[in-house]
Amino acid sequence: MADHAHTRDGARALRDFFASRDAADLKRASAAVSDHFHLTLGRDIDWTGAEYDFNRLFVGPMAVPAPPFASAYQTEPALMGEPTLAVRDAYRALGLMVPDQGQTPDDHLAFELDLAAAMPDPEEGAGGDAVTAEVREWLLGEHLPGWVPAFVEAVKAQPDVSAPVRMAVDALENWLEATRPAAGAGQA
Amino acid sequence: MKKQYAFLVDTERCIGCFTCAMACRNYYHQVEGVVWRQVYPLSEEIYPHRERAFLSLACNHCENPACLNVCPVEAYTKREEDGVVVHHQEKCIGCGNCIRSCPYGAPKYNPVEKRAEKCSLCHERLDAGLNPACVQACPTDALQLIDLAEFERTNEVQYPAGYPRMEELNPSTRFVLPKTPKMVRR
Amino acid sequence: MTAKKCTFSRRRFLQGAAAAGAAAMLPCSLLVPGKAEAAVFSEGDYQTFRNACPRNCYDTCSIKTYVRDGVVRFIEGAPESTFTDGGLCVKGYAYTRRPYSPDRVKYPMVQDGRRSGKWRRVSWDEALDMIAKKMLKLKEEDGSLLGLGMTKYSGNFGITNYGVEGMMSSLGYTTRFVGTPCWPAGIDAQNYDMGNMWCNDPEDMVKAKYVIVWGANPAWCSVHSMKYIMEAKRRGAKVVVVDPVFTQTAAKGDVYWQPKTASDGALALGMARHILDKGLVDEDFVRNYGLGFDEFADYLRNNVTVEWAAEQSGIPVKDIMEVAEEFATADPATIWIGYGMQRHTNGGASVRSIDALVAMTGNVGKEGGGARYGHLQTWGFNYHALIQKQPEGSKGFVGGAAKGEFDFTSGSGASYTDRTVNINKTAQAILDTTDPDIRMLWVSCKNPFAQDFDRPKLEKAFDKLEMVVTVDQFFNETVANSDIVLPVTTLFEEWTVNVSYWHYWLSVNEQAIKPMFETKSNIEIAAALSKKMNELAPGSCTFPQEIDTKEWMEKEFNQSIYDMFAINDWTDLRNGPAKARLKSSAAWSDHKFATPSGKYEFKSELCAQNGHKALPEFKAGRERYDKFRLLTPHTKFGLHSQFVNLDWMHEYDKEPYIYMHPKAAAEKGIGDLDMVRVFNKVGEQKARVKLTDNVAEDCLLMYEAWFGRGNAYNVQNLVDDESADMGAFKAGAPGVAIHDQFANVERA
Repeated sequence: MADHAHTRDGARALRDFFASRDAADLKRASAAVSDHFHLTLGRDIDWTGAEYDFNRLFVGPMAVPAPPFASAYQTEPALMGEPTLAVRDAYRALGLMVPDQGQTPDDHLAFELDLAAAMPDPEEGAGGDAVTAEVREWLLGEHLPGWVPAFVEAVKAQPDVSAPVRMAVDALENWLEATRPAAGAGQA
Repeated sequence: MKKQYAFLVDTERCIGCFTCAMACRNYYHQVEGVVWRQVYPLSEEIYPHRERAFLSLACNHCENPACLNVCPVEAYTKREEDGVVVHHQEKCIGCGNCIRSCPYGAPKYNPVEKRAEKCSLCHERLDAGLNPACVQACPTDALQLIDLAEFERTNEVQYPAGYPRMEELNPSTRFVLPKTPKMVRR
Repeated sequence: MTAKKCTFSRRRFLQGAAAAGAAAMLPCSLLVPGKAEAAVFSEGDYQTFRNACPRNCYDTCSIKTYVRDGVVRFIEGAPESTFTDGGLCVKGYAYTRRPYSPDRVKYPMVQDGRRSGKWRRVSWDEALDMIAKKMLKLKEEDGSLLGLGMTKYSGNFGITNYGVEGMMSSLGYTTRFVGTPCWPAGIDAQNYDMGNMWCNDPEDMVKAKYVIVWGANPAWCSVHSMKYIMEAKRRGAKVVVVDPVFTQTAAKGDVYWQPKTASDGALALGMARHILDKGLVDEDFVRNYGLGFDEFADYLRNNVTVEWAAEQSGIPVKDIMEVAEEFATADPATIWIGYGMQRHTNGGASVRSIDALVAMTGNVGKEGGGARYGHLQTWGFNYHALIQKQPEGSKGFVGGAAKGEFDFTSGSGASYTDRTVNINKTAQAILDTTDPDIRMLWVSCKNPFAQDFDRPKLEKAFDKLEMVVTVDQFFNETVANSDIVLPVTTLFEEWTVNVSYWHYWLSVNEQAIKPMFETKSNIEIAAALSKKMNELAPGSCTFPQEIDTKEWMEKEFNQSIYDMFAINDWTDLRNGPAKARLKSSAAWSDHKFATPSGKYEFKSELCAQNGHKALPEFKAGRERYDKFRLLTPHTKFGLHSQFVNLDWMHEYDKEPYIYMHPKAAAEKGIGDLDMVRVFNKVGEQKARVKLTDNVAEDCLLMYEAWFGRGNAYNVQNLVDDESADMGAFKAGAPGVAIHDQFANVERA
């Protein structure tokens, strides 16, 4: 299991990547991901091309092959399903909510990574609160491992994925593996 | 006879519109590929025009359900009060015995839960005095809820052509057969 | 969605967890553990909202929507409406998937190169800035905004969506695509005959003793009407279905007639001649309330025989005679005239012949009778969103504009108007219109690439446009051919109000959930555009810049609507839909017609003035130009290109097929489920074939407008833009001969 700083900083870098709106965001976030995960990114990146690719995969307007929402992978290929409401409950348990709840589904990868990044360090006793510990275990040990691998696989199944996106999903896989709690999901 | 709720499928009235099937999905949001109610076109040997007569089928809530009999963990019960066959997914171990045993294909495998599931006859709606979602949705009353104990039989049949005859199970669904119009064709 | 792996379990972290713990500790001695039945359904667990299906359908269903935690969980038909009767249709029940589809258009986006797939996300401000600057440039360069075209039809018939037209007016005089591919020839025909299109309440069909469903397929396109036909049948009525295809409706009738396609006029006139010969004409009606019946009778005696009708239609003489006699002697008897049968070069003439058949037997104006086509009796809204003033000094078209059938405004008397072009020749109009060229196109509530004709030509036409802006919920071929896409709300995310052109119910559509992502309703888009226009060029747009969509919905109501529906206020509709109080369920019950003569006009001078025959004479159909007739009617799983893309629909409708008679297939060496290529002068389309004698030997049938992931199937690759005979009088442009199409087929 990774140290707390890795969990937190990795989540922040990935959060910013998946929350990108344009080429400039992608460039900035990619640098942080590359830095944190020690993954190299070529020099001659076509950032506008990466933006097209990011939209093709995650945003639209075409039907997206890899929607970045838990609900699209778990019970049904739709948004705002049970997984969304489960995440909403988790936020609620900690007194949090997504901005303009109901507008962007609560289980967007960026929101979930934001929650992961906001978790206190369990080693320092700050995570001692029972609800927080439960949420943490559920999020890292059960919920994210429950859908992120399918998301990553959906991206990797696509042809011609741009280098920054490839790097980010590699980093995401790496992060997920490293942060999974020892007792999480029953068998890890 | 004890109360036994059942579906009456009136194929003379059925327009094969799939409203019943979609109403079920709308209410339960089954996972992709899991269909509790399906609308099957009758083969042309049975009805002479392709995709113009249908059997709308879900669980038959049998008197002697194969699913219940083969379940190793008693995940199935048949309600005393109305004969509805209920699958308790929380008890199910996903062994697949019921899926293999039901000659009507009512139990389906849910790949997400890794357990079986099937039409519940909307018993939570029955208990609230409502019709099953599919019955409420049918625009022509081709799909109705009946109680076999009180049902006065007229032209209904239990085993229409194309539907497996399983007398030991005694499925509760009843059918009215389709008709064909006088055809004036060039 | 590929490769699904899931370890999902819903966990309640606070209340839920506590409740479960408490339950486990209950001292149970009688209850058996593990018998956790689903909780009894309780309406109190949900917030409920009123919605209405706005999708250009006869049924325009009243919907009750169940929302929990801000999410639509399920919907059902409003039980208060005797028409909707608690149930929707297969499309309606798939609605819950529309707001929540991962494929939805979520943000304003710009495409760098049409059909390139290179999309960038932009803010509303950036998108509107590009759009507004282009509009201002057009105005500056052309001296008017006529270079800006708008094409919109029935993707959302919610009344506030007329704000799209309103937005255009508020910018200036623009180019409008007017007319309709749907029903215009029949509208004109009914206007010539009776002075308006006006149908009986469909619920009174139960009183009919004889029902002819002529070229309509309600079993697929108006499922809620079927119960009335079935009830009439149960009460002893005979049901005859006339259609070139053995439809699902035909399968439910007593008698099915398969005439040659487009021979409907001949068939109706043959029946009329026989009724005349048998002395079964309703003399009271034709003498007292009809005009020109004697001339019609002379026409029949001189030009029509039952034998001729049999030859034209392929329906045997004895059957024509039998049904004609039965129809004339049943009281009341009714004909449902479908929109399919008027999508022909002789469609308007055919509808007039059928109207005459109903009128001469005295069935017009009778409860349970009637020549049922459609009506706009309940559409008397304020059209507040629609009626906007052009900015001071706007220049426009000189020479008058055509008006669509849903345009309830009176003429303004201004010296300039919009420029109108034929919506049924969208491609040709874009290619041909000059002074100025149509340079920019605004598309809303419409998917021209699935709906307009001659798709290959349309692509060329779009390539001529300098900017295309499409407002839509999903990515379709029109969006692919656009520069900018703007995300629009679903019915659950906006306020509006809906009525039908068939039944007489009125439904409010409440906003049930927050608009997802960055979607806006059409009137909010108009307001945002107005704000941007005025920022860049003060006074360039008159549309209000800040609007409250609920208030705008309220502004559509007026006292006459309240009186017609016997409600005190629109808020009454939150308790359920309301039905118009009709003095009779029959249209024209007082036999006072809206024609120039005030009578039913068997002979219409107006019709003659507009370039047709005064009498409902026979008009021959379009000449065959390829081996098979090609029919492209509606599928039951979609409404044009809507719904077919949803994952739930894919569960029941996996791929599109071409339907063909086994004998014709055998001649071509085509087997069941073979992949075939259908081709003609317009283009080609491939799909697998299903062999069935539901279609005639000389016919190919393909259901229209499939779209979805990885499937480019589109019947408009095979349909040209040939006009129907009528439609220009009341719908602004002639209809289109969708079913007068021909093609050949071979194994692919």
